[in-house]
Amino acid sequence: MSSALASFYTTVTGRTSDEPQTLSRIDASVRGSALFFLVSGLLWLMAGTLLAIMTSWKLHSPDFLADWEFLTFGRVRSAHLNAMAFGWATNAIFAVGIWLMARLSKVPVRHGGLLFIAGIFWNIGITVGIGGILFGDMTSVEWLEMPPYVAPLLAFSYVLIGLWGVLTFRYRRTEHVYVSQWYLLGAFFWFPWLYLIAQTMILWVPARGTVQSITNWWFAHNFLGLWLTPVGLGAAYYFIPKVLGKPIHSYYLSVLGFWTLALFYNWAGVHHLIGGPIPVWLITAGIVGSVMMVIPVIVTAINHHFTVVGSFRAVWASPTLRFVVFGAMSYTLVSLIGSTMALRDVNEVTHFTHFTVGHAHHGVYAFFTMIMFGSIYFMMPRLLMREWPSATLIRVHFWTCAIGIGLMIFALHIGGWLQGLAMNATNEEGNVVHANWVEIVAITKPWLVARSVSGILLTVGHFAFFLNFFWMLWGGRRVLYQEGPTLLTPENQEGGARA
Amino acid sequence: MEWNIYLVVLFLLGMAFFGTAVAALTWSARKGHFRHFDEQSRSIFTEEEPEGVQTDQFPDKTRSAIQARSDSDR
Repeated sequence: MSSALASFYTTVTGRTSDEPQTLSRIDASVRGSALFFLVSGLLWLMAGTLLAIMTSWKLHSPDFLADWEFLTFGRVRSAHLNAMAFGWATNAIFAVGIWLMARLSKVPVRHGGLLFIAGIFWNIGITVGIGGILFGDMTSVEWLEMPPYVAPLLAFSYVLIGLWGVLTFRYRRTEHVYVSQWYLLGAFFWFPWLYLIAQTMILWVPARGTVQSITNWWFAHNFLGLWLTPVGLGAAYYFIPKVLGKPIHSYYLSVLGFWTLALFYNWAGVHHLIGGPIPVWLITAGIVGSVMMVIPVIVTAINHHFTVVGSFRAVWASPTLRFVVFGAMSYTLVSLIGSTMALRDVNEVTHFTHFTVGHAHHGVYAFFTMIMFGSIYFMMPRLLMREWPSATLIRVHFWTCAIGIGLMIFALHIGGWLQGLAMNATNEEGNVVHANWVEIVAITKPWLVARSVSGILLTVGHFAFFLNFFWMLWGGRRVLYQEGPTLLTPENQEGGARA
Repeated sequence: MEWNIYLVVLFLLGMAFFGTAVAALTWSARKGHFRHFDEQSRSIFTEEEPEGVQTDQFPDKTRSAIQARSDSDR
């Protein structure tokens, strides 16, 4: 009797058994929404890259495109930041996060239409927002430059996506909660909190005075630390063992790394205001939090290192892992540099210089974006049942981006450090050495030119990726079992790749 | 006046946040996430993508690798 009821229930609801689903079934269910977010993210990446080239060029050649007010440096720079943060990074997080959460929960995506709607609203929102920046409606708040009128739209879309992520977890068909799921849940929980509080306390019901600045940098730093970083780490913790076929070296360390990150990262934001007109105890708390981050960072580094050691050949042979391991190593380096920058004596030199810009790109690009590239290289064949059309384009992508970001970080760190020393320089009488600001600008100029060169490299890499991606989307060669990822079942078997 | 309201709201939200973190920690402790680490680290492997098999390669290498494998099998 109960089995008859069960089968009736299944027929009516279309609900398959409560058994964990196969990966290929889950991948197929995520296809629509993941592809939508990936395409959107990639388009924003290209737009953001164009804005980046303009921004970088203007810093050493201020006459470049100087005749149009919507392309002034202040506007293109903020448009670039928002296009990359809310356009590229967040769409990539939605794509990779949804796919990864579904896979790890072993449950296929339901009601993907909801995600589509949310994604469309999200992209409309940021298009209006970035248009607003370029046409003069920018707020004066870093990382929240989009005009306040787009916030409700973004909040609405996010609620749908976040809710979906939580529900997927809630209806998971597996006992285990893998560490990547913890990271994703953390990110999806923290982000709306950050965004709402920051919007409210700075723009909607502004708090008094410097509290706005403190909220601003609490938000901006946590956008990196509690939104981008957890998703990057969650992806690394999945792909490294998954591609190599061996489990993570110490799962205990993974769990420890997550909880210590959750404990310490939130405090760090105040390090953007060292020396500012805010209580010293608050600054010290921020510095302490920043330095304590060494713990989760070293823990993660040890874990990744011991998982990968002995398999570097395999890492090199995999497009996914070239990017992901590059990203994971960059995470260690950028975090250690970051903890150092939070120390007052170091900050005295690096604050308000290009050093910070280099550091920001180290984190958002060398760590997060490279891991997202790696994730996409793994995801796409499994979503589309096709292979990447060109190995050469993958290699071009990797080398231009690795060298490009390396050059950028190097140039901006050196240029920024020299800039900082020059700004602070005083002679024996205690007078400022470089009273004329233009002298300091001249010191930084060659490094800014080097940064533009690195930007050209990155642009080439992005084009290579863009070409490969859309070539694959519009009829890359179909993968047959013998040729493609080991996931795919043979052609004439059930669920196999179609000819 | 506005200060007090803000402080109260933020304090309450902060407490709620802290409570969520404590709840998450105790929940995961009760579910045994802080034991049996080996089992948990293997949960990402399935029949389709099993442990011990590398699951990603360059597209031009896959074909030659498969060819080499099938050649040596003969």
